[in-house]
Amino acid sequence: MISSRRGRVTALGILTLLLIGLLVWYGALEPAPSAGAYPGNGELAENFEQYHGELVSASGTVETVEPLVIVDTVRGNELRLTVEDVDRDVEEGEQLRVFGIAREGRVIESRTAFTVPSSGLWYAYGVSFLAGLWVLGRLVGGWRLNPRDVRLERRSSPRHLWPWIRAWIERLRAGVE
Amino acid sequence: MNPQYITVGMAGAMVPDLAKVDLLFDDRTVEQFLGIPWDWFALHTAGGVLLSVLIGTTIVGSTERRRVFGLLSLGAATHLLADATLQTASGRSYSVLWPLVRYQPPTPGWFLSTDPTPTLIGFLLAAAAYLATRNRRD
Repeated sequence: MISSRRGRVTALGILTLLLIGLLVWYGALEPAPSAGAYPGNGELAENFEQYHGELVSASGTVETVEPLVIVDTVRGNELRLTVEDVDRDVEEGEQLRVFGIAREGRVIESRTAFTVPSSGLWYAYGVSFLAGLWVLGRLVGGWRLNPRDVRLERRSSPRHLWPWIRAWIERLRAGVE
Repeated sequence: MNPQYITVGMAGAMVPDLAKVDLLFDDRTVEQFLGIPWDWFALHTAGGVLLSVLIGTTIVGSTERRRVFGLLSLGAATHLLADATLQTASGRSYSVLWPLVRYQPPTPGWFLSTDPTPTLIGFLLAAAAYLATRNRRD
């Protein structure tokens, strides 16, 4: 079993290389509509004309409602699309997600579309970020990285996040006075 | 089962969203820097998650391994499964089982990631579990 430092480092190295391999492989994948992998913003931004007449997915922030124009920045380029046949109320600033046929003139003929308020996006990223901080805090408090053995170990006396935060607030208060 | 292991389960649940590092170093920037194709989203598929979980399992001591592997896997699996029920415009979710298959299963479209309701439900379930096990803890 992998119980030595050398064993761990080797295994970690191999696993990391394999993981990088997957990241590169996924980056090279082309759309596969038969598997449900429709072209998306990335493909449309690169070469919209290639997908004329095909089913595509797209999303973007609503810039104007009449005509319905959505904008997204993809890989450094701006993708601006006109969306037709959307039968629901849309507001400027919302995010529109659409599935439909790509037409000439950077038009998407919508089959299905729905909107997401920008506040919803703030919530999604915000809660994800806070959750990440919380888990990181618990990890740091409960586990310790042993750099010599390259091993993550459980702390025998776990440190708790809330008392640490309280101590910091006290220190700041004392400093202010 | 103690708080340190619960943390491992929580960390497992975060693993698929390691793909969000795309917000810091987006795919195109990395591609230009390395000169090869790149997509962080592989971290949100079964293959990427399995390798990430194995990395976490390897770095802990051998006495911890079985528990850590189980907890990381459980956490990550719940995230992958929940995300596979997100509503999409195409009606299809993502390549959950990649690289085994490219297939993006149809999604039941139960909720949106921008919807706070699942978080509330999760919080209530956690609170209920906490209260129910209060006696066992002392």
